[in-house]
Amino acid sequence: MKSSTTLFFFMICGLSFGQVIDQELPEVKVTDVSTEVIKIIRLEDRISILKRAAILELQAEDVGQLLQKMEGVQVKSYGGLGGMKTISVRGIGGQHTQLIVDGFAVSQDQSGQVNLGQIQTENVETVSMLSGKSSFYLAPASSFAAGNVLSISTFENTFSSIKNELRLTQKIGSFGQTDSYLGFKHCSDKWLIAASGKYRMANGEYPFSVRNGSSVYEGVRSNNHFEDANGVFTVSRNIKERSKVLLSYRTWYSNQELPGAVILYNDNSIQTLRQLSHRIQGSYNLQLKDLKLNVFGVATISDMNYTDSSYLNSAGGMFSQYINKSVNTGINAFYTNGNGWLYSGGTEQQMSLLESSMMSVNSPIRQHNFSFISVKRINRLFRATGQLSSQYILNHSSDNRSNEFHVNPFVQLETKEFGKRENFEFYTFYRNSFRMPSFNELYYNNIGNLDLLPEKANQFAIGAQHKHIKGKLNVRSKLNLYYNLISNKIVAVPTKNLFIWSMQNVGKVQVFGFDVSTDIYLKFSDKSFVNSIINYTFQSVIDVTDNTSPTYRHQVAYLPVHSGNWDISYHYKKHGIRSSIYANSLRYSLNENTQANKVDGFILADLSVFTALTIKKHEIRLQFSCKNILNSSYAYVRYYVMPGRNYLLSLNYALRY
Amino acid sequence: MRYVISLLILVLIVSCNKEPIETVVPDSLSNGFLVLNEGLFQQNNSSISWVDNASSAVTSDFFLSKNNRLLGDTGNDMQSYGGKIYIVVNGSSSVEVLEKSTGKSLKQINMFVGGSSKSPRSITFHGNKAFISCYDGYVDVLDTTSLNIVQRIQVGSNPEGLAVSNGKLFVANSGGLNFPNVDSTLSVIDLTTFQEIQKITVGKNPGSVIVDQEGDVYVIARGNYGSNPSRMIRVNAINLVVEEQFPFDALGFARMNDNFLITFYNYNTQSSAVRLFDPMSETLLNSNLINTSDIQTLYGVSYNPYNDKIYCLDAMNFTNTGYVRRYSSQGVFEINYHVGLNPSKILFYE
Repeated sequence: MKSSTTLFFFMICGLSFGQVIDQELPEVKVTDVSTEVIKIIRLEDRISILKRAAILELQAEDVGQLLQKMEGVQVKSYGGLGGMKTISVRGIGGQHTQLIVDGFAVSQDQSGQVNLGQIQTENVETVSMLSGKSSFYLAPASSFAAGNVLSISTFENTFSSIKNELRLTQKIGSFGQTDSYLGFKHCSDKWLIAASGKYRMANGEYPFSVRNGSSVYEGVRSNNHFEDANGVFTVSRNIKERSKVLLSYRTWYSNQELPGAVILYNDNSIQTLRQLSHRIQGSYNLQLKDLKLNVFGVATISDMNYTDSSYLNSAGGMFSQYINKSVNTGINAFYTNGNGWLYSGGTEQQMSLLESSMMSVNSPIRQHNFSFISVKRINRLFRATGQLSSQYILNHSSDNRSNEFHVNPFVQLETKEFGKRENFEFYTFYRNSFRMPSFNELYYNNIGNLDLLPEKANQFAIGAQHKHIKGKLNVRSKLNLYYNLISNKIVAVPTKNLFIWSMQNVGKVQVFGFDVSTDIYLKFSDKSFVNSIINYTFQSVIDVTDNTSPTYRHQVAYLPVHSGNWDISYHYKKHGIRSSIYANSLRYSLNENTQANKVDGFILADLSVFTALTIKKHEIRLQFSCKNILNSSYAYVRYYVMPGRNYLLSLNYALRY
Repeated sequence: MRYVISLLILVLIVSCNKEPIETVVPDSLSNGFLVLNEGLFQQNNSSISWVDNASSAVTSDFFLSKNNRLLGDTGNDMQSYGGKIYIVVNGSSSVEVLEKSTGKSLKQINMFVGGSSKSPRSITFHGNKAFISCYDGYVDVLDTTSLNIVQRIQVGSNPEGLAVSNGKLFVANSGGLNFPNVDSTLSVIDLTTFQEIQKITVGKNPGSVIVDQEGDVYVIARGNYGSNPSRMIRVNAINLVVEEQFPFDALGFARMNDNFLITFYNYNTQSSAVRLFDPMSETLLNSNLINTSDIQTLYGVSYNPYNDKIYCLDAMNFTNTGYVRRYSSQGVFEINYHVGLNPSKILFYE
């Protein structure tokens, strides 16, 4: 095994830095600019979005679980409760997805992607996945350059029409799970002041079973305890209705055990991970007639400590510390005079520094500049977008890595609603983007490769949307078709021996996919309605690196060809019931599509009932969920077993005055 | 809506896949060989393939079909002794003992001490004892009759290969988990007292150990995979001194009658070599016995004395299933066998 442990840790480590966030900035009131913009925003419901009501009903523990509900997104979860979660969007790895929280970009230079298992949902207002879509106007420049954008907005950073709101959430669930959240927000014409705190823990000792030949091994997950806590404070001030200033601070702490994969005949696992981070961010928004400006800055420090006392080296274990510091600053401008032309542009400078004894170079630093210009033309028939983004990357480290400069285009054409009832829409886009190798991929001891090139992605998509509104029935259907090509794909390959792997640019992946979704809303009366959301995703994600390879045209590891969701809920007054089903087809644990590498598909069904009571300014909401009601024994990643049937009871209290 | 539902139903149908056709393994094994496939770390996919010489048919999952359970995670060594097969499974921290004639499990020995994994790595035999190097810095002594561990002998860090000569056990201390600050010694254990009597410095990161007809001990010091090359070193088993370091690249070896087959794989150029070495005259008889251009990653070599053939183990890219490639004793290619993931050891049957 040897450095395989290291390799594995390498793959998971640092993913944790992303969680650092949960803040937001002012979403600019779109009504300010022009009515055209409002229309555009409305049309952007083509993007996948989950709003608070659905987030509450789903009782997802984290954003990773929520994203599974979206078409085109595949989630990979490394075990239940505290386990890491990563995504791929339309067959493209999560490193191509830029996370934006409350309008601020989250730096992901250390590991390249964010552990979505660490972004909790209590305070999340909306989650949107913008696949290939042009980002919103005053978003950081890094989001215009990314292949995909995951945008999250939170309670503490979202303006609301309610003057004072107090929220309290208490959850109790299986496997020793308790979860407490307290948040308060004051909003007025001039001020937004919000603060919140959250603590959760679980012992994570869930029973599992894995097949071992003709028998079934039944065990209980051990070394899976975790606890985490976070605190947020935000203050924002509107000045003369023309400008706004915001300042926000967030701290996050976690201490968890890492159970790893279930290893047959050996349940000895004693790895731990402890993390602490602080983040402070601020922004200034100014509106001058037809021009909007946004200036922002973010500073983050994260400290991560990993231990593996079972590692058989002479130090008696592996103890490593990673300190990541990053600063982002930027400015954006958006201009339109209402004549059908919309212009936006901006620049963002990110600087990231990593200190760790586990790196092959001393304290690597990266300076990364993102800039973009975007023009949108809107007329009676269509909306056309053209965008150029540039990236200039400067690496300061002893490796003499040369600087990089790239310019990437994005073009999109959308029709306006047409047809007799104006209920059809079409769109198409092309995006060319890349992602930089992460610090881990470049510098991690023995594994990192200083010569790595950026991984490139080309995305081409077309799609259509149809709306049908008749009486009390409202049906919205979407179809997306896409062809993506990823080249210079960064993969781990053994280069020194089987146990010392290294990162190489060797892969080429071709993606053909489509997804269909239908959202049906049927109103029976003023008191009751049914909502059914169904989606299906087909993804052929194949290795086209080398036509002499045994894996040529094989489906890439861990991506199912078929996956889908069906959620249906019935609401009567303030009571309701929701059934949520997710299914995916078989996957392969390695790129070679052999019998031995098969990982079974699975069906996950959750059922929840909820009720709410409003007395004057007080609202109490009670929800009970049974998750994995079929008690499926399943895993996203081979031998990272997931929990069977489990329960969660949550109480939400809100006081609004 | 309707077609969405039908597509979802399709998902469920697609999920139920057909099972593969099972090939039959004979109850009593002969005229063939077993291949230990290491698998990949954390995937519990170490396996054994049975290859029938007459039909060239390969049965994968031999261990599973004989014992109705999986071998476990990362099988590192497989040797036979006294009618039994011993398989050292590193990730699962176990030693599987099978009946050689049938492949049926006699005992699974769980290798733990105080709740921690011993991480066994390699095995060798002497008298009625088996010696198992364990990555936690010990050699475990197994009684081959009772199949119980009777003693632990402390050696250097992360021991790997071991061999017996002149009443002594020679154990390579790799120190691999302290990379780049690896170990460079060979522990010498007296087999009357079961005590370490000396550590001989042989070169950085020692791995495999083998003994020639005269009792000389050969060890491969793998260096640092860079400026410090991987070399074979000869140790005198009587006076316990290093007598020679050979000037050619070497990564592994196997006995071929009185000679050695020496393998080398260059990870940078991805080129392989199989050399023929005469340990009596200490000379290289042929530095390229086999045309290795069809081998992607040479992962081991074995000689079959029953049919006078050479078998090269090809790990491909380590994540795709590997091949056993058979050559005549003169090095002429004959046939390929498609086996499991990362084939590393072979056991021949007459």
